[in-house]
Amino acid sequence: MKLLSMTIRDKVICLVMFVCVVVLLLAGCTLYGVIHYTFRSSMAQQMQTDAEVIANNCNVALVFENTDDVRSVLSSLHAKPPIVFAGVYNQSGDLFADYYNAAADQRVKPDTLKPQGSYFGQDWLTVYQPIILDGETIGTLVIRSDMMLLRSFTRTVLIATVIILVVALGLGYVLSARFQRIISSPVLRLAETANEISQSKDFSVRVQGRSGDELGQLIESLNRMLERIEQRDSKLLRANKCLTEEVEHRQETEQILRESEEKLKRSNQELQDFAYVASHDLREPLRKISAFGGLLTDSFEGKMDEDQQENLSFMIDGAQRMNDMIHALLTYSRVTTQGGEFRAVDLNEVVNDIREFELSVKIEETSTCINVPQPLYSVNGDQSQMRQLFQNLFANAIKYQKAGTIPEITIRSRIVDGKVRVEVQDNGIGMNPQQCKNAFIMFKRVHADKQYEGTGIGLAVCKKIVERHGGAIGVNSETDKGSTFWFILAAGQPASEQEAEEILVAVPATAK
Amino acid sequence: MNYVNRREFVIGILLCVIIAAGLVTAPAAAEESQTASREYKIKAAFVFNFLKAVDWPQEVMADANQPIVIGIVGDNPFADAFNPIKDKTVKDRGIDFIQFAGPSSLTSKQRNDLDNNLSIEGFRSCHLLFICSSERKYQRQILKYVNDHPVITVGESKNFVDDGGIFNFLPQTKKAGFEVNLAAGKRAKITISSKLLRIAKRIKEGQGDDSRGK
Repeated sequence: MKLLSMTIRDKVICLVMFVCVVVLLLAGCTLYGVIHYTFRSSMAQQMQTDAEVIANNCNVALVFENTDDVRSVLSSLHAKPPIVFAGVYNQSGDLFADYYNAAADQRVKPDTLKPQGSYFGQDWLTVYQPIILDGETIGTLVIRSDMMLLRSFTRTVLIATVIILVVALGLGYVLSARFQRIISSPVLRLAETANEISQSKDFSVRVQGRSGDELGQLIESLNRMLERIEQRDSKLLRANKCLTEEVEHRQETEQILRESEEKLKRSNQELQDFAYVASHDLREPLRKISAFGGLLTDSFEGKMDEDQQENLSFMIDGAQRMNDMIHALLTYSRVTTQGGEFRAVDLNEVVNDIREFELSVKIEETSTCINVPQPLYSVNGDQSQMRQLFQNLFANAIKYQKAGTIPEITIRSRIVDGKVRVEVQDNGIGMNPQQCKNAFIMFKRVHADKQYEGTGIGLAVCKKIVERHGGAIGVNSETDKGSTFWFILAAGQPASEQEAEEILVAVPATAK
Repeated sequence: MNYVNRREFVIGILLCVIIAAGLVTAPAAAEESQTASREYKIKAAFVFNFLKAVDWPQEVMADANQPIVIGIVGDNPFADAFNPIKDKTVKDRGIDFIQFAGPSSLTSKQRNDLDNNLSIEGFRSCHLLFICSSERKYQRQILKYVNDHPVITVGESKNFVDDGGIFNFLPQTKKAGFEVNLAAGKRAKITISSKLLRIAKRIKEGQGDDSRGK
């Protein structure tokens, strides 16, 4: 953890020093080992050579048991101060002649004889050399050397190693402290610049310095990045400015729109209020006209000529028609003003109710046949308006018939894109394409002749109801081939899972 | 223990008793006749060691299977002193011993014609010829016979080296010392190890004396 929080400068120095120490220790140890081993083996080699020479030199003297001569041979070892003891032993292992270094005492004499070879001990190197004459071993020469030289040599090497280590470490520190800048200074500059940028948010700043290594690449790519950020920043600023302007513009437009919408709403409300009030208030005088017209007809029964009677009936009829129209208008305006809440509406029930209540008389009169081949899907809507919708469509289907034809109405429903499409097909007189286009426009009566009376509002009301439900309505028709009115409404919440399944299953069936 | 072993055992014990009795009763006689004196034991060892420290010319040593022959002229004083070295080898060869009669054992008539009464060829075929002190008077003649042949002559009398012998044991002091006649060795084409010369008490070189003084 401590190492991680160090500065790059210290890390580089530490790294160099660490590598220095490891390498120097390794080199020192290896060198020491090699030198020590070489020194030892050369020392042993030297001793063995000496031993061979001496053994060869005193073999004859030994067999002639000439102690003086053997002694004089051994005393030549004076020339080698490290040799502390030399001894010639005869065949039976008794000491025949010996030599002691001036500084040595009796203790350096070995206790036992060993086979030929060099033996390194704690303090001495001992060489045992057989003395041979004419192929026969006639005794043993023992030479014992002090390891003082090896010890002092070892000490020298160790001291030298330590000195080299210290000097190299010092030099390593100085050099690494000097040269770490090569690595750390660009990094520091980089860090400084990055810090500056993050504080000042000024992306126009660039990192100085150029080198071919990874740091140089880093600096270069950082500069490129900064350039790109700067470009993007200016672009963003521009875009931001544009956006702000646009937002302001939009806000203004929105304000205007809101104002005009408000105006529109107010005028629409006024218009609706006016229509309602007007139609409501208009009916009062109309009722008087038709009522008093009726009274007039009754009181002048048989007293008017045919022409007068016809005029009066025209008047009453006109008043009646106007009343109907006003009623229709009221209905039309009520679609939005007096609409109920939306909920799941069972269309089968709606159709049955219309058959049994609203249009029961008309259906009976005309012997109309209403077919529902398959149960209808329920829709999400206003129950009473649904009744009105179907009532208008049925009424139209019954009304626009050739004389003598029995009206036949078929109602189907299917699911299209998760919505319910209902089709009401009749066998009436049909419409041409131009008529189809105008069918839903208020007061545009398709069949304006006397045969088919109407206010010209029924389909407009249908359209308004469907539109209020967020749906669509239309008609496919040809002259003399009947019409198929269709509308699409949101599906009603299925009462249960089972019903949902039924709907799903019904889809492919109806798709056929 | 069976019968045979018991008999051997009894015989062994009897022998031991007899030997012990002999040793106790007549030690002096036994020492004189049977076993060599300490002096000759050392001299025998020295003779053996001379063989090791000396090299003969190539032609004498041509046959590798030929043993080293030690000739002894005169009354043999060594008795059993050579027993320890009999079976040893020198320069990878065995050792043979030949006893020659010396002039002292001849009749006075024979002595006048030594050339024909001594085994001169026998002398010359030896590697080493030991001339016993019994032949002190005739050693000069004997040495003349082998002078120019590769034979190491070893003696034990006062003028042996001066008479042309190569090695001479000096009269017994404390340890056996010897003197060397280098010129004689050279004439006999014998190479004497310098190590041997080093321990010689006296070295005679050419006509003059060069005493080592040891």
